[in-house]
Formats: sequence, C-alpha cells, structure tokens
Amino acid sequence: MNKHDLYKKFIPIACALIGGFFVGGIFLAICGYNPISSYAAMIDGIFARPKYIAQVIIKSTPLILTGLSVAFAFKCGLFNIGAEGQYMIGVLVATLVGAKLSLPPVIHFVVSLLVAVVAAGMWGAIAGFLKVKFGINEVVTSIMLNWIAFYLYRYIFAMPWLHVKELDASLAIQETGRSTILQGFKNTAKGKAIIADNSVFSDILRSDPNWGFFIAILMVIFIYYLLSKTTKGFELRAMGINQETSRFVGMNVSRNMTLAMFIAGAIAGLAGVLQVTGVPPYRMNNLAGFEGYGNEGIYIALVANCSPIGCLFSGLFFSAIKCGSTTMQSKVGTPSEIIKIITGLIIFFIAISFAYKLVVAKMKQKKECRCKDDDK
Amino acid sequence: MTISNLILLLVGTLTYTTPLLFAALGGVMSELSGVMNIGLEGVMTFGAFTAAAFSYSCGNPFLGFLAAGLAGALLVSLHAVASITFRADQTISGTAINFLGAGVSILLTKKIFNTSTSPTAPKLPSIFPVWIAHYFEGTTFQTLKGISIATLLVFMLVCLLYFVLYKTSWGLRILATGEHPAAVDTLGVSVPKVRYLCVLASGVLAGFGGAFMSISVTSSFSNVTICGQGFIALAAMIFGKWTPQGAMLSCLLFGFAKECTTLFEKEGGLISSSLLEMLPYILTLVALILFVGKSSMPKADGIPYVKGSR
Repeated sequence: MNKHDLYKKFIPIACALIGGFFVGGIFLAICGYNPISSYAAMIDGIFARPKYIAQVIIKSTPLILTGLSVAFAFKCGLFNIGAEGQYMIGVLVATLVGAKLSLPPVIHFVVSLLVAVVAAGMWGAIAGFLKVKFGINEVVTSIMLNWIAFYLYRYIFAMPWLHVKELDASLAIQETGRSTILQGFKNTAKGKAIIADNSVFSDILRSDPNWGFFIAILMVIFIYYLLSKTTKGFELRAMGINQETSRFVGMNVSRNMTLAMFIAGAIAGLAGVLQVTGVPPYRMNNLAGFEGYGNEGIYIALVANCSPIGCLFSGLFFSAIKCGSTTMQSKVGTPSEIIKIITGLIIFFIAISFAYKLVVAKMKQKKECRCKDDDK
Repeated sequence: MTISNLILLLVGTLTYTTPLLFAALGGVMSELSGVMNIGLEGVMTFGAFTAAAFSYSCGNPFLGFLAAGLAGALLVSLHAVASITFRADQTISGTAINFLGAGVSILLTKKIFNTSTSPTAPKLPSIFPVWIAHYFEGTTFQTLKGISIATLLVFMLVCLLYFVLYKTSWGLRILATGEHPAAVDTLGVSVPKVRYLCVLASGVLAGFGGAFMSISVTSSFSNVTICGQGFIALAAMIFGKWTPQGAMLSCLLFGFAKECTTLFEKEGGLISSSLLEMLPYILTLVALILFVGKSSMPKADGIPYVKGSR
C-alpha cells in the first residue's frame, strides 16, 4: 500500500473528526455553552501535565484492545458485539487466579493472563460455534452471552470466598499478579528520594502506570502480522470477504469462524485482564451494568477502518477526548455527554464520507450529461 | 400458584414485553425493506427523553407519547439519509445513531432540567378506565389495572403489520424491496421511497418503545432508563425470523422469563438471584438452538441499492 492510498484512507477520517468537533461546537453554542473555552479546557486536560498524558495512555489500553477485538472480527466477516461479555470474563478469571492462587512474581501474572485470555476466547468461541453448527446469527448469541457473562460475574462476585463486605469489592489481586510498573519501588526510601528530585517521573509514577499499554501494542503488532503475513490470516480475511468462495476453494470455513471468534474473544478478554491487574484497586467492583468498553470498541474499530494499527491511534484518540472531557466538565461546566454526541457525529460523518465519493461522482456525471445536451 | 400470582405474572410479562415489542417491530419494518437498523437503542433513549420531557411540560402523557414517535423519526432520518441516499455502511450509521441518541438525550436533560434525571412526569393511563378499575379495587383482580393502554396498542400494531405486510400489495412491495430491490425497481416502484418510509416507521415505533419505558414503567428519564432493551429487541427480531408475529412471540417469551425471574426472587432465596437473572438469556439461547436454526434474513438486508445494478 503506497503513500497515496494511505492518504486516501486518512482524509475521510480526518474530515470526519474535524466535522464532528465542528458540528459538536455548534450544538454546544446552541445549548449555551462556549465551544472555544470547552475545547480549550479539553486540550488542557490532555496535554497540560505529564500526569494527564500518562492517564491518557493508561486509559487507552482497554479501548485499543476492545477496538482491536471488534476490528479483527469485522475483518473476518463477523460482528463481535459480544466484546462486553468477553471483557467481563477476562476480569473475572484474572481476579480468581490473581487473588486466590499464590505464585512467584511475573509467573503469577503471566499465568493469570493466559488462563483469563483463553477463558474469554472460549466465551467468544461459543458464539462462533453456534453460528457454525446451527446457523444462528452471532449478533443474537453474543448479546445473550453478554448478559449471561454479566450475571455470572455478579454471581461469583457475591461468593463469600471472594467478596469483601466492607469495600463491596472482591479480594484484591496479589502483588505478584499485577501488571504495575515500579509499584513497590516507589514506596521505598530510595524510590521516594528519586521521585522528589524529578517531577516528570513522579507525576508519571503517581498515576499508577502499568505494562498494559505495552502489551496492547504487542497485541496490535501480533494481529497485524497474523492478518497480513500468515496463511491463516489470509484464510480469515478471505472468509471475511466472501464466505462461499472460501468454502468453495476448500478452506475450512467452519473451523476458521470458530477460531476467529475465539481470537476476538481472547483480545477483548485481554482488555479486561489488563484493566483489573493494572488499575487500582485491583479488585472486581460491584457492577450495576456493563462497563462499556466492549461497546466503545465498536466505534473505535470503525474509526480505525478496522485496521489493527489504526486501532492503536483510534484508542489513544478516544481515550484523550474522554480524559479531556472530565477536565472540561470540571473547569468550564460543559457536560461530558457532549463527547458522546461528538463521537456519534464523527461516526456519522465517517459513514457518509466513504460514500461521499460516489455522490460526487454522480453529480459530476449529471453535469457532464447536461453539458452534452447543451452542446446539442 | 395462586390467582393473584398468575395475574402478577401476566401484568409483569406484558410490562416487560411492550417496550421490547415496539422496538422489535420497528426493527422488523426497517430490515424487511433492506435497511439494517442497529441504532434502536439510541432511538429508544431519545424517545424516552422526549416523552418524559413533553409529558412533564404539557401535563399530558399522550402528547409525550406522540412526541416520542416524532422524535424517533427525526433521529432515525439521519440513519435513513446516510444508508439510503449516501449508501453508507449501515452498521456504522446505526452505531452513530446510538451515540447521538444517548448523548443528546442526557445533555438536553441536564440543560433543560438542570439535573441528570428528569422530573416526575404523568404516566400513560391503564387499559382499563378508572371506573372499571375502581370496581375491582380490593379484589384479586386489582393488579390488572397495571396493564397500560400502550400494551393494547402494540398488540394491535402486530396484527396491523401482519395484515399490511402479508395481505396487501404495499406489504408485498416492502418485502420485495428487502429481497430483490432490482426487481421492484423494474416495476417502477421507487426503492428509496419504500426504504425511507420503512426506516422512518421503525424510528416512530422505537420512539414509542422508549416512551413506554419513561412514561409507563417509570415516570421519569435518566441515563439508565434504556439499558440494553434496544439490543434485546434486535435479538427478538432475529429470533422471530423477521416477522411481526415472530417478534411478538419472542418478546413475550423474553418478558415471561424475566417476570418469572422477578417473581422467584421475591418468593424464595433458594437459587441465587444472579443465576435466576441469567435464565431469560439462557432460555433464549436454548430456544434458538432448538427451534430457530438458520436465520432467514431478508436477502438484500444491509446492502445499499444502486440503481441499475443486478
């Protein structure tokens, strides 16, 4: 893919982003909020301090991964609306292994990551299996599985051997099972001395950084490699373009479909693992509803045009505006819901943008016909 | 099973079913004409907000209900323009509607009412006029007054849609537009026009569904009023094989399972409530496996129609 093609794909998305903020600004003005000061406060909330930038990066991890999960599924011709449930399974299993087992450091984290990711993958594979065996649309099964995962989470959360009454949370994942960076170090005397000297470093350490972002990047690279450089990836993409042809050519579409849903589920589950092992309080919370990362993954994937590397930037972008919106709300008073509206507008403009060329071509054609008639 | 429990079960089932069914019928209308509409959740939210706002401001729940239908049509018109005229990817524009609907509703609630929950609004009246309900006061049948008049409307709509779709020529055109739009085009029927009408109808219906949640089940709107019902309605539509009667049966099944769960939770604490709550969803999965099988989606669903193509 040469530079020209890359620009071609970039421009509609860039225009959609600008358009979304522009129309959102008009909407804000109509409702009586000042768009300029709101956006300025948002940008302030993203870049003003190293702590904010660190927060954006840390909070982008689950978004990048759920986006990747949905994008991957789309590339395989499937709609993974079940990312929400797969995320929860990831959180649940990671907490169980992280809190209940005792293993040496690093090994503990790796084991809980692997077990949770496989469990979430299996959860996704159920939807794939049902589609393959019974022909049931994966959207319905995934929606049902989301809710089943949700209530399973609540059921195990309430178990006396996991629940901590005073905090209304689960047992905490032990230190050996977490993915934090230098957490123990920063509380020692030596650590505190270094932190006192260096404000950037202290800012970053105080926002509880974790390895999640780097693991997410690795996952992005892995999926990119899988899809574009391996035979299996080729088969999966072929299945996404035309299922019947793939079957005709001899590819095992049944197995590939289940595999695709397994991988998509695993990625969404990874998002959950990294969240619960990397973000304090390292416990399962009492959830009244879905956390939302799974649904957000849908638009992150769409804005990224379903490209794995695009998901990285898309996740960072949406994490940035999310973080910025809380600052905007506290500084200027603009409700953070405007972000939902701007996101909706961006997605809407993206939906139109790819078809914009068609409309422009049609108008050009009409113009030509009219000119021809005039010449007669 | 006492009579009063059975009546509670009936009323509860109908209460759960009604909003789902409104939205599911909307989904059916849209998809039968060939336009995928996964934005039902956002339309329901916007409808719920509009109904609560109008009902509160005017004191009249019927106005709120109608306004919700119009609001739904307004929001969904964006999706219609994007999908039909601009031939955009219908999944994407549907997702956009979800976000726009939710965002605008909550923002306007905060702006107009200065709180994140709208003030208490007058509810839709029950199916039984006050003098009949009064007659039953104190008897075991008194809970029947909990059935809203909108429930009657939605079941009438099922019959109406069934009749229109399968017994009139309009309905045939709608079905054909979703299966083979090129054929319909050769007959001189405008495919975009049919699709626009159906998508707008789906917006009105989903708006009604949302309205039911905010001025019948509860009496206000907040960001948790609509919580997944739009997606359950989608599932019900697929489960019902894209027919109004199928949607009705699947919504009833779901509402029944949900209500059974609620009743069991009240009665005894033997089975954990979380496990019970899973039941409607597991039941739907099992029913899907046993009874439905291969989905029979309209053939041209989700594919933008380009005049002149095969």
